[in-house]
Amino acid sequence: PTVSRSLNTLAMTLAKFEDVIQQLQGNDPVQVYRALKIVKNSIIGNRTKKAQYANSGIIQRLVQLLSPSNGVSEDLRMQAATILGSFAHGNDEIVSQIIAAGAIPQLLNALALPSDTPPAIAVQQNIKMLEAASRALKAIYSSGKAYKKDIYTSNRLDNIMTILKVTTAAISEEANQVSQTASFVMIAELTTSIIARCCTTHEEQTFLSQCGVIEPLVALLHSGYTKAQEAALDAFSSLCRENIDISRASLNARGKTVCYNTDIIHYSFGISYLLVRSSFRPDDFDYYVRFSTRQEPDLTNIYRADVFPEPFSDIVLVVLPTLIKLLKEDNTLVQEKAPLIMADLVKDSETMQKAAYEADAIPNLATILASVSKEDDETNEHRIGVQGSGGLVASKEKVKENCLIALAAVCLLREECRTQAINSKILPYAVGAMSSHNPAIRLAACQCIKSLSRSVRHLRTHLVDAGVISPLLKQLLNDGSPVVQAAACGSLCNMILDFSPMKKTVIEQGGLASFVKFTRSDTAALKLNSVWSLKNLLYSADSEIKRTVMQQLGYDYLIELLNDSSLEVQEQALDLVRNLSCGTKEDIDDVFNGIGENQLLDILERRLTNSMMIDDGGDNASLTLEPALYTLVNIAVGSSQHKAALLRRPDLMQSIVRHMSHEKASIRSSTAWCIINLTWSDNEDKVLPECFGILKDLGVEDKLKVMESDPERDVRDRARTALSQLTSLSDMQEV
Amino acid sequence: MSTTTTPSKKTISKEEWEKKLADVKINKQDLNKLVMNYLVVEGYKDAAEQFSIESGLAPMVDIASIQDRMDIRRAVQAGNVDAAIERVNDLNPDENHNLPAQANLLYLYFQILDTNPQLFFHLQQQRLIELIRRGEFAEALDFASEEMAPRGEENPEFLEELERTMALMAFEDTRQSPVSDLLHPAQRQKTASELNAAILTSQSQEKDPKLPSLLRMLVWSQNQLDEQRINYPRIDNFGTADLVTRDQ
Repeated sequence: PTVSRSLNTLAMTLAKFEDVIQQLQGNDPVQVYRALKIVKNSIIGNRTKKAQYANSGIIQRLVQLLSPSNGVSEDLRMQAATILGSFAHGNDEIVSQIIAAGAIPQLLNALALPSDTPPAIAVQQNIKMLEAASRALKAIYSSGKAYKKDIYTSNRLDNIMTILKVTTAAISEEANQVSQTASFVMIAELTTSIIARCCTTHEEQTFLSQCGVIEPLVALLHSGYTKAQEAALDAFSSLCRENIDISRASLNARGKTVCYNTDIIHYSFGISYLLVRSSFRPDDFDYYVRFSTRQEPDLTNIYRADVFPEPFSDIVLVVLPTLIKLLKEDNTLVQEKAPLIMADLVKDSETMQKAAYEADAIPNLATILASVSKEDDETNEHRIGVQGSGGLVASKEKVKENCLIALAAVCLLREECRTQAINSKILPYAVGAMSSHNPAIRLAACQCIKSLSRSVRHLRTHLVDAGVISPLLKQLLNDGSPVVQAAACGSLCNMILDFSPMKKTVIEQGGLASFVKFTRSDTAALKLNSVWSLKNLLYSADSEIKRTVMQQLGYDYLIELLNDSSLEVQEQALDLVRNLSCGTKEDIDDVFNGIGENQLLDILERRLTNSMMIDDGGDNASLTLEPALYTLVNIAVGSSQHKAALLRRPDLMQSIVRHMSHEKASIRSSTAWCIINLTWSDNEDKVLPECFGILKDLGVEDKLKVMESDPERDVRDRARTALSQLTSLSDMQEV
Repeated sequence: MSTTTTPSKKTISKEEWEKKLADVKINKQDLNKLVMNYLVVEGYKDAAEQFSIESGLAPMVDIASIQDRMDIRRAVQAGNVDAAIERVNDLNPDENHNLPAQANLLYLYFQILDTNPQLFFHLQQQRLIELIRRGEFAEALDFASEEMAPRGEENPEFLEELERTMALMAFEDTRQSPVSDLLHPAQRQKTASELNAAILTSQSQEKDPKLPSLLRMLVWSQNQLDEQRINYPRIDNFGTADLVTRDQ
């Protein structure tokens, strides 16, 4: 009997395709039902069969059967919904077909409850249809291909909310009817997932919150049914994203505590947040941390106001070690998500980065990075089959990308992190990742390298030894993706700061040409980073390099950059001039000739006076002020002609003096330096005779005396030097 | 390997030990839950039913679904994969089944197979193995081309396992084949367990019972104490759980 049974099964699935399709199109309900069963048995779990059937136009027929106006039996409608649900797990094309056939409105209508029955009973009566329809909808919405607006029309959302509330309430009570409980849990989970997928804009979030979605979700969170809890956390994630009000409301909603499968740790410092931890379901951690990450802007704001330091340490004490523990799990999904969450948590906070370091985040990240990178080295000889681009490969790539992002975040600010990262041998993998076919990985690799490149010491040895320069220069500055290029540019930027051999290499290998090219880029980040790079290239550079750079960039274009619409570009361009003029008198001459003495000084003067008018209270005022002042400092080091050019501009000098009482210490220092340099004489260049008079008339002496008691030591020292030089000048005058 | 010499072993007397044990407050209901969890996951339906009555604790799942799950698992373990699948796919109200539970499992099943390609592949693989085992080579070939080849195309990561399974057909006497392990009962067991675990997971149950883990933790703890050369009342027999003190 088993033999013939399996033959029958085979026969069923091998049944003539056309026969089944034909039966389905017919009007005999018995035949249609039989055909539906055959289709159902064929397509379940079977992507190939799904595709085959989908091509036959069956989906249209299913949507037709689903519609209540066709006089079709409830049973048949349910089968149709179930099968649509199965199809919805097929490939994107099939899902698109389903949507195009108008399935969504029909499925949403199938969730409607009769108005003459109490909701709780109505749900029970229609439970099978609700399950089938909601499963189909969840799958469709999860594909990301559907418009969400259908849900917000008519009273469809009302239906969904009713269903959610009824099922959640039923689960929360100690239900006697355990068989129903399973269904209720499933429907609650599915409806919640639908909500999670259909909630992206601020309006939608607010609307759902007003419909009372938070309370049932909190109840689900406490229900102890892990699938439902996951769905609830997912929903919270969507609801709370960048929405402080809902975040607060969710945090304050308290529910019952501890259930069987999971441990719920409940903290409260006037703000409570829920941590759902299950020792057997590591995926739960992921959602929980996402949940609390959504709150983190909330908590961080409060922390920075120094009101509640405690919750912050909660994050440090509990979340970070938890995340790191997760990293040790051999679970690709967790390895994919945990690093990203960690990056999110630590990227804005040096304290968090330190905490991550102390909790051994870096070696663990390094281990994962190594494990997903080793396939790159394997030869293809021993491989069976065709290189996949399916789920498994994509996951591994995501893991690699996210690990690199996490490493970039943790190493952002602290030297010890970078040291440990390099000692954990991540460099070969990061460098290798720069050649990945996947632009997201290349970008992440660049960001990682950039973080590491902020360390001067390692730069010289490890990064260069790891061969980071060439890939950065050759491949990445010419990458297809401007975002990657900007990141590569940023990495190189740090590396060309100090060391002449490095600068020469970069120039020789075409780096300079690329930087210059990208100063004209439409992509803001790339443009800024390339100007920045040129500035760094010129830092402490010898005259030869300076000339080479300016030959390629052109002084005319430099002037354009100095007047760019973006303040940040202006800032970098000014710093560039600052670096150009820092050096020999010939260097200063070059700049004067290149830009034009008057034009240059006009620009500098404007930056000094403008900043007094733009008082937006922010840093914008001093953004261009500082580089302008330090450029003047450099010019003042020059020959007597250079000094004279400055002294003979009364508005300029007046601005300098006014800034001597600026609130920022570095600005005050720079003004003192100006005075020092202007009053300095060496054998070649004597101080101008009118120098003392001009300075005296401006009241510099008195201002310097005030600065002698400046709170900043640096300012005090400079002021003292300037005063003594001024005094010896005055002595000379009198003689 | 300890290099420090510990001149005297630390000793904990039985009275001390038992006093410490008595100080630990354990909720009776938690203990009941542990037992129930074990019975449900392992599928001891009758025991679970009885225990539910005695303890007043409701199991987290419908008892009838335990039966269904066990029937399905047993079917797979007996090599009856087709029957297992068909039983669940047949929504036939005329049969003598508890309909609500059946309906639940049906939907669960759809969800499981549609979202678990690995399980689906293994079930199909098991069907192929059974056909080969029964010597139905013609059917096996048909099945392989109709059902298995597409699995390989859909998921290249299964290709290696697929080719191993196909290799079974290359040998006249399958028991001599280098892939004969596929014919062992252990293979069926693996598939059955995978299915069982998937059903449990989708019912928001844990796929591994907690009790064995606790037991393992107990063993580990005792080993730790042993390594520290501490003398304490030990449990040697986990059946009786008698505390045994060793004499110096």
